[in-house]
Amino acid sequence: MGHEQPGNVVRLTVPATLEFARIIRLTGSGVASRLGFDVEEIENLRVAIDELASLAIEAAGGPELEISFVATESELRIIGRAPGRGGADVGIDALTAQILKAVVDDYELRVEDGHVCFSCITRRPLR
Amino acid sequence: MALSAHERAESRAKFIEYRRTGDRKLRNELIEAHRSLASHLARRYAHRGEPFDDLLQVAYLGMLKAVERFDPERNLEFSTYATVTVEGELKRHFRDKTWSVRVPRRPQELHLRLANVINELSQRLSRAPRVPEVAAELGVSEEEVLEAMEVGGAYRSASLDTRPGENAEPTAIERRLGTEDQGFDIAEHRVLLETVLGDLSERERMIVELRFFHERTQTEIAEEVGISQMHVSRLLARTLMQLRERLETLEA
Repeated sequence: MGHEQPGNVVRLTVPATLEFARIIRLTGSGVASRLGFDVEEIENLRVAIDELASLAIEAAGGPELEISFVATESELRIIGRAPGRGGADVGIDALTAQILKAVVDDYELRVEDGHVCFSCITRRPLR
Repeated sequence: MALSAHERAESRAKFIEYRRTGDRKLRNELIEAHRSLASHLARRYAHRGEPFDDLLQVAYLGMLKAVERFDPERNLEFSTYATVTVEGELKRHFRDKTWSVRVPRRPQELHLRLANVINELSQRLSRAPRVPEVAAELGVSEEEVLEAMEVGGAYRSASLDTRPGENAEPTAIERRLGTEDQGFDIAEHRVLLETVLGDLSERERMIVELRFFHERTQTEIAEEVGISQMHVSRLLARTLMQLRERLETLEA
């Protein structure tokens, strides 16, 4: 797990509605492309973003979703956060879990301080 | 709109009178008389993700404009003129209001060429190409390639973009995420998942299983099944949406 390098973080705040998932995907693809991901790795990332952002948006109680794309020496980490709805937990169904497992190296969705938070990690290609 | 000769003459007389006086009462009568044409036209644009009531409002607004602008001295049926005006208004509504879901034409065209180029490059390079390589091959910018890839599949959000309004029943997934269902058993999900997988066609199931249970790449699956990687990508996107819909129906 490399440490955060200055100038390697892209932050995005979008309305917590599904129409904006596209903007998040597009930004994520752009960041990944800059890091040298190939089209298939980008495709995987888009699936992951779509799954996690949709889950977070559905569970969100607040108006906005904050996303950070953090590039370290070894990985691309995507972190999302939106105000929750007061529930104590969020769940991932088996299909989604199976999909996420296949497309990213690690992921997480949880409630923290009343916020719905997700993160996923993709190791940078060694080239 | 088949009108009798008498009705037509009457309507024409009203238009001439309205042009002369600008009487709002007369205008409203004329709009009222063509209400059914407006709703007929609005219905043509239904089922495209916009609420029908909104479309009806837009169509009435178009009818209002048509009545105000129609020149009865010109040798033209009002219904013809109104159809053009109302349709113009409906089209503008879609252009203005649905920008976030509409796909711009250029990425859409580019997307069609993208599949071939990615295939060719994959074979030439013996690996999946990177975006700059695809961009160079297509002679477009990297951003355009990313936009075009975006056209390919909005896996999950697309199927949920057209959700009913805010007051509608919560979806299965919302209920599951709600406070009552915290302890939803993962084993139950697996049973459901197996049930819905059984509903898929042979090829769809094979692709989904290879991709998500055996964690094979799209390129590997493409080779194994004998179709292009982009086709695998599209099939996966579509199958995932179907699976999700069926899961939600079963859980509801």
